[in-house]
Amino acid sequence: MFRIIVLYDRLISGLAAFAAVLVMAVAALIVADVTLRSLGFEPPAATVALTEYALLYFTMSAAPWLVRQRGHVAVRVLFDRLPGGVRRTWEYAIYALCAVIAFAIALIAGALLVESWALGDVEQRSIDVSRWLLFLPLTVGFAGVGLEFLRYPLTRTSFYADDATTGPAGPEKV
Amino acid sequence: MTPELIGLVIFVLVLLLMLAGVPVAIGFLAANMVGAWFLMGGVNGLIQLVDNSTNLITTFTLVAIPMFVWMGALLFHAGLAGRVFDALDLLFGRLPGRLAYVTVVGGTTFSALTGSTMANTAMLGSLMVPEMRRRGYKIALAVGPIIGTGGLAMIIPPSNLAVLTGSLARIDIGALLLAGLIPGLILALLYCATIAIQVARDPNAAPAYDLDLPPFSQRLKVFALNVLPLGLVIFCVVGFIVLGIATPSEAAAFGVLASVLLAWAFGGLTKDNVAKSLETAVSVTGMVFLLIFGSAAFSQLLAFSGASQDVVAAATAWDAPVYAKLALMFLVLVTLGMFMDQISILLLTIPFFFPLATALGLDPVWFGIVVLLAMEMSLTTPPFGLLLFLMTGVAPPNPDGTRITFQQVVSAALPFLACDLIMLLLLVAFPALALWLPGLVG
Repeated sequence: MFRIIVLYDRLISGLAAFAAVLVMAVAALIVADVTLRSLGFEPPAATVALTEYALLYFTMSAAPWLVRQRGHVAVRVLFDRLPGGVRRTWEYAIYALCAVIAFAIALIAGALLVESWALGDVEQRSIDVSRWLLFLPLTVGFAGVGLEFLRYPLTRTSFYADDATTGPAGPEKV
Repeated sequence: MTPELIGLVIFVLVLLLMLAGVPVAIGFLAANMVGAWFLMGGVNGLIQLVDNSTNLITTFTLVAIPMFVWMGALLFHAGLAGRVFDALDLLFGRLPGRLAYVTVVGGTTFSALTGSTMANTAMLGSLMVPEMRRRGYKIALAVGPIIGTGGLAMIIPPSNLAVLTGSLARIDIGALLLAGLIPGLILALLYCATIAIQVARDPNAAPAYDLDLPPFSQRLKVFALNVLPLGLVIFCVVGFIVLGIATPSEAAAFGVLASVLLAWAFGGLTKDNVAKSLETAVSVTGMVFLLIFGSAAFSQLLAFSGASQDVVAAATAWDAPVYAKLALMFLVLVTLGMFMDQISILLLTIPFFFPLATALGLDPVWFGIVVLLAMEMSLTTPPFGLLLFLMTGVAPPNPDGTRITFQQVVSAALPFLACDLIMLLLLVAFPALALWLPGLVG
């Protein structure tokens, strides 16, 4: 069991690191594309499509890690005023709701993944991509989000811990 | 239940889930599922919702957000912000209220490098408030300029909120970014004028003190070495768009390249700094993109239900002058800002306000700047403005050892809030202030 938890922790961190690599890759790809274009060379046709797909992979790779980092924004103006006991119960209800929603999306995305795989569906942009590749990050990402929300009650920690006002990446940072 | 009523129900549901403390992105996703179930036929509706969702964030224009965040974070972690402030500090010499001007000019420069309001305010607060208090500046001059200038990052390009607004409202992001430049600079000038008036009325608000200043030529050299190179980043972002060399997303990637080069040139391109800046980029952008993921489908469901069109039709049918309706929208935005974060407000209101603004004959780019100005004001509007609480929490104590009160911070913020209001009136009277620069690019 312990080994599974360690592996799972590594998976969540690894996905976040993958998201960071994608940011660097997208920047490099665009700079190369524009430079080639400006110098009169033919840039690769796939740049726009690849960067667009990278955004989906980026978002879903970062999502579970962000739950762990308390990085998803929440409006706490009323929540913070709840008395201790009520607040804890309320918090657990929120975790349950978040997990249900995330698992439901992961499940549907998983079903669509299997169906697309079986049918050989293709998404056509500047390059053709198998559609199951688009449902893969949704399935993994939302499953991770659901698990991370369940992790809070299981480990008796809080998404709403005092050091996390609106999370390290709170809304005001944007 | 009629589709319009379902639209209204999911809108209220999002609002309730937000107020209940549910993470905003999940609140949107939950409401979307309820909406899709009732509007699009039960389980099939849910499948349709997830099937369509892969297109919600695979949009090239959104690339600008991670690029801008990474760019600003890299410059910050590489220590370039500190260099800007040190150079400006030297340049302004013995000017009365010097540190307050340094705050505004440095904050404006940093706004043009980060696009992040909170990063800007936090940096200004940590760098300038302790120094100003140590030098005997009164709270009005130590805190007011920071509260005002911190919000400039929302308007001055590269503003992440502008990219988000443009993307959600489907307006030209390049035009919206450029439209913020002149109003942002005018706001900075208004803030400087406010400081000048405050210092003239009460010279003790910013007491003079002895300074060991190097010759002017030396100070100019420090400025040229530390501040002017940052023009490269600004040129890569704003210049590339204006000159038509690159789209906003492409220009943002070049902004990153320029930041990497500058960080390297100033010796700040360490593995640690790159890792920290990437962590910021992943956490900020990941959060924003999941919100877009939830809210974009929400907007589509509202449009599908007919609720958005009904609200727009009712508002346009209401017999009132256009500017009364504009004032009402502005008031709604500022009021919501007292309870919610800026992104949530945009996600909730854009599906209604931008179609309405277009129906009223308002230019969407101009309206976008008005919305961003409202977002900035909402951060500093008492009694719940987030920056007011932030400054109350972080400001060092009064000279007599007592804590800075919320009322003191509010009083310090009010003159700068008045500047925002003047800017709004200027924008209404002279829309060209926002639209001239984008018009040049065509």
